[in-house]
Amino acid sequence: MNLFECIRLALDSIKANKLRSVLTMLGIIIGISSVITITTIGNSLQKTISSTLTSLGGTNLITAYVNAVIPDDVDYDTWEYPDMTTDDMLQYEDLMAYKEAFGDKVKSVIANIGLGSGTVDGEETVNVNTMGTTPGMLDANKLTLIEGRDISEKDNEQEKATAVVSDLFVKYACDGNSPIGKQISISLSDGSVLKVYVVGVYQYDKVKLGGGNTKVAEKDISTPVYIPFTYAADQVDDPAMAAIQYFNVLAGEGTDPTQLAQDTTSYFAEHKYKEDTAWEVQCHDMASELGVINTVLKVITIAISVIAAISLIVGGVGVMNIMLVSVVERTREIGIRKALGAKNRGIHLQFLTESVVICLIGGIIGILLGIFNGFLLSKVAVMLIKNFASDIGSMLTVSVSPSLTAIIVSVIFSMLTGIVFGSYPAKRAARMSPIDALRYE
Amino acid sequence: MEKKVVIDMHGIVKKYYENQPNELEILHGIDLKIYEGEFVAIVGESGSGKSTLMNMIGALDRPTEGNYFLDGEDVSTLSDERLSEIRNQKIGFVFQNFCLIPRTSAVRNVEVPMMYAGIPGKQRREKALELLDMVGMKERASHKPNELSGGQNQRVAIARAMVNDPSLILADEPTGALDSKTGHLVMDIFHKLHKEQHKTIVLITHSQELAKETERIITISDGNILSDVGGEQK
Repeated sequence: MNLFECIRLALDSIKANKLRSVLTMLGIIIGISSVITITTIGNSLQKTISSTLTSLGGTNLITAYVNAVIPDDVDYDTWEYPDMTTDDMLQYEDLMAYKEAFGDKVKSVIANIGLGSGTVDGEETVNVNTMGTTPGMLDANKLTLIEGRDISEKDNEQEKATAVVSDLFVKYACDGNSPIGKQISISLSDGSVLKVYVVGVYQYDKVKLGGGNTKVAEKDISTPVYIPFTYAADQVDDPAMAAIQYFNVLAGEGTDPTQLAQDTTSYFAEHKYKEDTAWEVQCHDMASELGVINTVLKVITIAISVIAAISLIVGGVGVMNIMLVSVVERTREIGIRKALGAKNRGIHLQFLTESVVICLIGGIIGILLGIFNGFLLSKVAVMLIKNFASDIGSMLTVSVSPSLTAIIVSVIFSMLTGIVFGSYPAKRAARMSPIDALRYE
Repeated sequence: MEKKVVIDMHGIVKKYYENQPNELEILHGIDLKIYEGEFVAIVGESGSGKSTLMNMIGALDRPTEGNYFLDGEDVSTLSDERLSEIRNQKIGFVFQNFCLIPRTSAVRNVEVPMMYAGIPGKQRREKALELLDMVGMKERASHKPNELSGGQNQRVAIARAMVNDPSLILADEPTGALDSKTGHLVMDIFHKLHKEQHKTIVLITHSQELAKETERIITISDGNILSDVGGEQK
């Protein structure tokens, strides 16, 4: 009697006892489907987060800021955050020197000066938020340039009065006509007026530019107007306003952002903060932050999966219970088979196969159910996010995908459950004496 | 012409609870020879030891003492595994309560001994249908035991007993669960097998009437052979 016969016998027996077989499988189905549901959700979440973050900033984005060095033997009861003077902050020249030193490794260094809100009187009066910036601002925010060009290095070197405006600005202030080459006057809240020439138009993106009040009418939204950093620096009286405490770095093609983040910190420690050791430039890169999020998600997924897997043990005990009952119930069948020439091995294999087949079928149903649940719950989760937090919702790129590893592990695990919990009943069946088994009524 | 000996028993003793205070000796040294082609009835009251003897003959159990040669092979000392093979190859069982596997069709039931003999599926199906035809059950090959009458079930069981061409058919009260009419029908099949195919048949029964239909009657009482009547070469 070979394995194939055993599988056929097992399927016959499962068919002959449909209800009991389904009830037996239920434990396995619930166990496996919960593991698969959880891993599917975990996997989907991980993919959604990473694709969303990538679409927002890209994994080559590094966030850097000047921060106080906390001594190694810090005593927080007595340690106080030092006062930051303008000298402690970075200047435009520091960043340019930094960019020079790193060459191709740094695609762009982005720093800005906020000149605050203002208005422009065009066809209609629109609200703007004027910001001095180095080249690469659009890139770093993943904004799309639809006409003209971005603020360039040359604009900064020559302190040119150029500006990049949003498409909303064009729509309301220029009545949709191309503003390229035209001069606009920005009335700032402090009463001063900036006259700048428009060189480019970008597509406004509420989410990428940090949300804002969604209840404001489109016309009244305050959109950023980007002007060269150096030009903006000239407009402010207070040198502290022109000093840089926070900037972004876009890593060059093929540069490891995590390494670049470390190198950036060391660079400033050796140059700007060689003497001024109370301060340093701290960096965070998207790539390693993504890694941390992924690791956390993975750990959570595994932890919950393990808890769900405990239900598999319960399911396995259920299988053992039913198999033991089945052995008693089929004592006569065992006797008949033995009388007709079945060996102990054959009976053992028959009952073990039956238990494995039950668990395997349960496992497969569980996997299908789990994938279905995972899809459903992921979709529901996204729907809820979109309803309650429309800002974040609109930037989610959802990809639901079950974990292949979890599926393979589940199949193996359900078979193992069958083997582990089926062997004792199978052994009992095999050990029965044919005479006693035949007499059993 | 010297006939071939199928069953050759020497001093078969069977004890239960051996070496325990409640030791029970059921068979007290049975000597028995059954030749090829014989139709033998073993008769005895209940408690006479005939069931135990049948377990010995059927290689379902090993004797405590003595030797049992089945078809020339000493089966009294074989392992469980070998005994299974012997039962599979050399003995065709017919039981009082049919002992068909429930929820399994007649043809599949007949195939069971061939499955354990390792015969391939297609060949099995052919042979099973052939034998069901012989006992007149071919039309009901796909019926399950609970869909058949007692007599029909017993005929399926006889087909199953024949399927591996055994040296010996061992029938334990084959008509015990049947009414007299169907009982006769079943007995007719045994007679046919005996006359036409010269099968060796051992019939275990408590009924003298049934025993009279056979060629040789061995009477068991209190674990001993009381009488042995009608054998050609006694």
